[in-house]
Amino acid sequence: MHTLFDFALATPEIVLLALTGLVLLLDAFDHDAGRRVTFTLTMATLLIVILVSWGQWSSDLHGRTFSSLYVADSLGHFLKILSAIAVGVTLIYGRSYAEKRDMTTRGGELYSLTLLMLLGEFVMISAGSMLTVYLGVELMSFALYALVALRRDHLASTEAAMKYYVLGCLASGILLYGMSMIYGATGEIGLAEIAAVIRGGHAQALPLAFGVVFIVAGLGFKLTAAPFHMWTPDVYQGAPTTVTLLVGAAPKFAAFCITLRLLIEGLHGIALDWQPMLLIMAVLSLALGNIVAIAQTNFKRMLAYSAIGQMGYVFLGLLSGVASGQAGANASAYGASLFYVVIYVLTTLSTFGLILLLSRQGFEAEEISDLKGLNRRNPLLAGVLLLSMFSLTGIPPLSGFYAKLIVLQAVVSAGYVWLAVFAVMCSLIGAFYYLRVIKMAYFDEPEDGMVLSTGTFATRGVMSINGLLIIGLGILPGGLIALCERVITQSLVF
Amino acid sequence: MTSEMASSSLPWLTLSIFVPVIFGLLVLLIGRDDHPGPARVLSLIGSIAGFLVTLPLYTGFNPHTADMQFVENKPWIDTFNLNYHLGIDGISVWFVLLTSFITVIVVLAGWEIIKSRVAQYMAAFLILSGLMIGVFCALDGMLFYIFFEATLIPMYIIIGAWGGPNRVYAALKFFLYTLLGSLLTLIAYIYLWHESNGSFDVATWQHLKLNYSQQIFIFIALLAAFAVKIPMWPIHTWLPDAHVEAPTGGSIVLAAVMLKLGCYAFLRFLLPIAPDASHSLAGLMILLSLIAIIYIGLVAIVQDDMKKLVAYSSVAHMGYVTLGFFLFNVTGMEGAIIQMLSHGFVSGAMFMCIGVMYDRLHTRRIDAYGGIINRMPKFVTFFVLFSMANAGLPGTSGFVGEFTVILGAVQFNFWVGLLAATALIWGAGYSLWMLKRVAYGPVANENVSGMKDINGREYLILGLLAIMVLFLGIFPSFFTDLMHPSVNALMQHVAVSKL
Amino acid sequence: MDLSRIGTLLQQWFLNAKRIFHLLIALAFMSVVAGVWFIQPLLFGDFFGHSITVLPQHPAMADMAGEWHGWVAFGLHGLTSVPFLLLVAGFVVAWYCWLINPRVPEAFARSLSWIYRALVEKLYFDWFNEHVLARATRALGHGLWQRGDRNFIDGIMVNGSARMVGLAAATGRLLQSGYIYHYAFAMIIGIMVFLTFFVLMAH
Repeated sequence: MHTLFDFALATPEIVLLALTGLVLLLDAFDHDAGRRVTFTLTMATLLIVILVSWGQWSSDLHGRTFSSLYVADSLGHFLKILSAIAVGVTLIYGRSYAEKRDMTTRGGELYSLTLLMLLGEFVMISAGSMLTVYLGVELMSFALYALVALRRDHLASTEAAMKYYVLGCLASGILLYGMSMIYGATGEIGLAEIAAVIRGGHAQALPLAFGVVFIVAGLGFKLTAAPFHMWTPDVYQGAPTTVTLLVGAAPKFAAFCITLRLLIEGLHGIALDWQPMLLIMAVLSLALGNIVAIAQTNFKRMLAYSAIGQMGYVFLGLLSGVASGQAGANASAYGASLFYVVIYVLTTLSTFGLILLLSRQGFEAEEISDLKGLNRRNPLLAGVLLLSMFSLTGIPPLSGFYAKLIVLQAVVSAGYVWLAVFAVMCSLIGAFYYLRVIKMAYFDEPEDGMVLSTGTFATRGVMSINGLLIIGLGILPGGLIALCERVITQSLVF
Repeated sequence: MTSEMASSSLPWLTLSIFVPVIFGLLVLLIGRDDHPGPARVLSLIGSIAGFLVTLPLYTGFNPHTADMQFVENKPWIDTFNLNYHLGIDGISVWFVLLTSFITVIVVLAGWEIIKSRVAQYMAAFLILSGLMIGVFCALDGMLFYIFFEATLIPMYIIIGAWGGPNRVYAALKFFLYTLLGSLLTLIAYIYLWHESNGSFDVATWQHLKLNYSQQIFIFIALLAAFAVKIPMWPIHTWLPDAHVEAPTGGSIVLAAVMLKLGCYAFLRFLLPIAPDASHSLAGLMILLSLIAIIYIGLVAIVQDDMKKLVAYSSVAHMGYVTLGFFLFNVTGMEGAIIQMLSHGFVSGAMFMCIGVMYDRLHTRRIDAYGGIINRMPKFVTFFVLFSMANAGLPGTSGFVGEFTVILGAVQFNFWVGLLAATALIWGAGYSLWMLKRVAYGPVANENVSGMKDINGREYLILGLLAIMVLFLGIFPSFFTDLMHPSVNALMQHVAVSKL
Repeated sequence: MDLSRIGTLLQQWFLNAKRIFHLLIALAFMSVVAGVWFIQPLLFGDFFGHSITVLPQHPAMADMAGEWHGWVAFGLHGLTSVPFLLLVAGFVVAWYCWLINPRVPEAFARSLSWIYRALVEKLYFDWFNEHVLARATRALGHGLWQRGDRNFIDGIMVNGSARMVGLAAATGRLLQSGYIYHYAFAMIIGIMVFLTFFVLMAH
């Protein structure tokens, strides 16, 4: 259904924008240093938005509107719900951390900016044209730049914000430049229209190829793939941990979605051009992420490199979808990548959440050595850490194993057996630093004077659910895997 | 192909796997560091329950068929045809029972000596037990792999949290070494899935037509994981470290059961799926086995740490097993399986004995001991029995396996048999010399003087193991009767070329 | 039930010279009786029935059966055989050397000392086993352990590869210099490489 102005399709975004405005307004009247009212309102907003999207999904609402700038399909609904949940969990974990570090004393911008970031993500997820993609990217990114800088009296955060801003603008510029080349080559900005032009053979080859390179570069930046990954360690480490989690969890959904829409839906005709680029990025990310993480002593930085390595797997799935130039040849590969992203975000929430729970006034639980003897101090948190680390390594029966399994299946089905061997060798190298974390928690004794603050009952409860999901999705992954594949096949047109 | 017995009404294999796991989780939940008693009792109940649940597998077993029995097959992950497919045959039935039996032993062994985080310790062993039984029962390749890999998690924690001074290095070495091989096997399994058009079923894979280079690739990839697990020379070096640093219970489980996971996988996967590659690489495998038997036998003689000595002797015994596999005759194969069972009991018992001594003197060095027979005669009786079994004395289980494999080896080639037979010399060398230095002679020093003889619990453990060692040694047909059809079927399958 | 106590009692009862002498006489007597009674059925009769089969290629027992004339003749013949005479000679020599004139063995030990030494050392078999065979085995085991397992497998392959990865990690870590312009350059260089390979060369 292609109508000009079907506002009903865009209900989640409209609702989100309205409620964000409300939150922004009401926050001015909240003088509590902890911004509890704002927090509650934000959580309510997220809940409402989730319900709206859920309603849309269950009533199978789909279509294109606003001259095909906006797309509503099941992939969109699915990812919007997951993003909102991820943001909600992030805020639950990060609220007291932010409060103790004066991030909410002067105003509830943390919450309103987060909601704006989520809005940007929603726009990205529902993008039907390159313009919307760019709009969403910018909205999300600007909110994130401000969020990273929120702790403005902390040197590391300011430096991280500066780096993120400059490099992010560079990346956005590159993305936009690529988009303009694509427009020049095809004459269209709508993704479905671009695909039609390429299929019809009316696109000019050279600008198209140029544009693809720049677009892939821009996407690589957002998805923390090498060689566009260099912002990741510094930003992850420097930003206040709440914001690190905001940067590292939910935006991955949005970035993945625009990758799917741009490359697989829009540019699938020239898959032969972007597939080798994805291959190089995957190989570099796997190698670099897994090897350099070994040398890290800061847990957040280590997790940043781990993110780079994990994204390598996502790219493996994306490139395996192409066989003999056909982007849709192996559609289950995209479902595999999506599943991988979902599991990765789930695990990221628990790892950074752990850091958030362990930090307290004046003490950042950032170093790996801060985890020493966690099993003695708090077996529950240590257990969740164990599950997360083994899931990231890819050991069954945790869900991370299945994520790696289906991606590797896609890779082998596409015929790249040696690439699969390379990938598992990299994850073997990666196993070392995940095991080192477990070693700290389980095999070492806590150092003297280490006091533990473990957060409130609610946060521990959410953390337990988080951990249970990591193992639960490992025992019964079939449903989620099938769901991921279904939303891909229902939504993307090859 | 279900067993005709009425016991197919209850899902015995699922129970065998999950009863220990559930008890393990319960122990985790109720365990408290300040009151370890309830955790211990619950673990003991759990391990005995786990053992009782596996007994119907023996009583209901049909020894006249090579088909899979107690089969359970339910779809699990539809998207790629990964099924929850369990079943046992003559080759695997004894290992399920061995695992549940050893779990009881291990829970008893850690009763007093583990004082911190008792609940987690016991839970780790119970969960590990369930997972290992899962490995032996799985008839779906990826299900097998999932159970196989999952055993790494509790073992890593056991070695690292309750182990000796160098435990971190040992635990890490164990994990990464094993993981390296296993990841290659993962690729091989995915490749087989792809080649068989989306099936993980083991039987399908066994009958899948593969060309020679495919078989070689699969052989090497599977060998990587299973050879590390067994362990074969030269990728065996993780074992001495892991055994030395692990707590007694960990060493017992590692030696008695975990090594057999690799051996079993040879029989279930490697040989049937790649028979031509197995035949052509048999010479290499026999060579590696002989090196393990002789080289490692020599290395074991000069060890001064008792646990390391027994660890190296494990590698040598496993050399017999792999030798038996690649002789491609029924004698060798059955001998290898008997050797696997026997080694489970004997090395478990040897580690238990060392644990008994270590509990008293907190050292494993041979020169710290001497003449303990004067203070611990009951214990030394058992120690002598198990040392003799380790050396391969007729009448004990150690002899049956080794002798049968030598018979098979001589059928294959006289010189191979001769070299294999020299193991009896090395075995006597390391076992009996250690026994002599530790047990006999005058009391060596004050510490030894103060050693108390074994208490009731230790007596029970050693007694149970001694009964099994003697039973297997005197009446091995009790065990081999169940194996005949399956081994014959395997031999027939492997004799047929897939090219 | 104390096994060691029973052992001590048995020892005390048994280690009495007169008692041993009596027991030996009884044993000798019983040996003669057993011989009289059992030789014929055991060796030349069918006491063993079908448990022992002698193949026709091995005629030793059949030949001997041809010479059998009953236990008396067998015993008397034995008394005149060489082994018996050697037995008596040995008994006489031993009785003389050790009970009558102990200086004879001493004289032998002094004059034929090397034969004496050899016999005492049991023809040096034990020495050979202990100092050549066992020591070589131990040395070989030691060498294989230290050189083979420790230095080569563990040292070079296992720990060596771990060290290599660690070195790679330390080097890779240096890439992250901290300067924004380095990062930006990395991105631009990446784009340049992609452009070169996938646009200029492909088209």
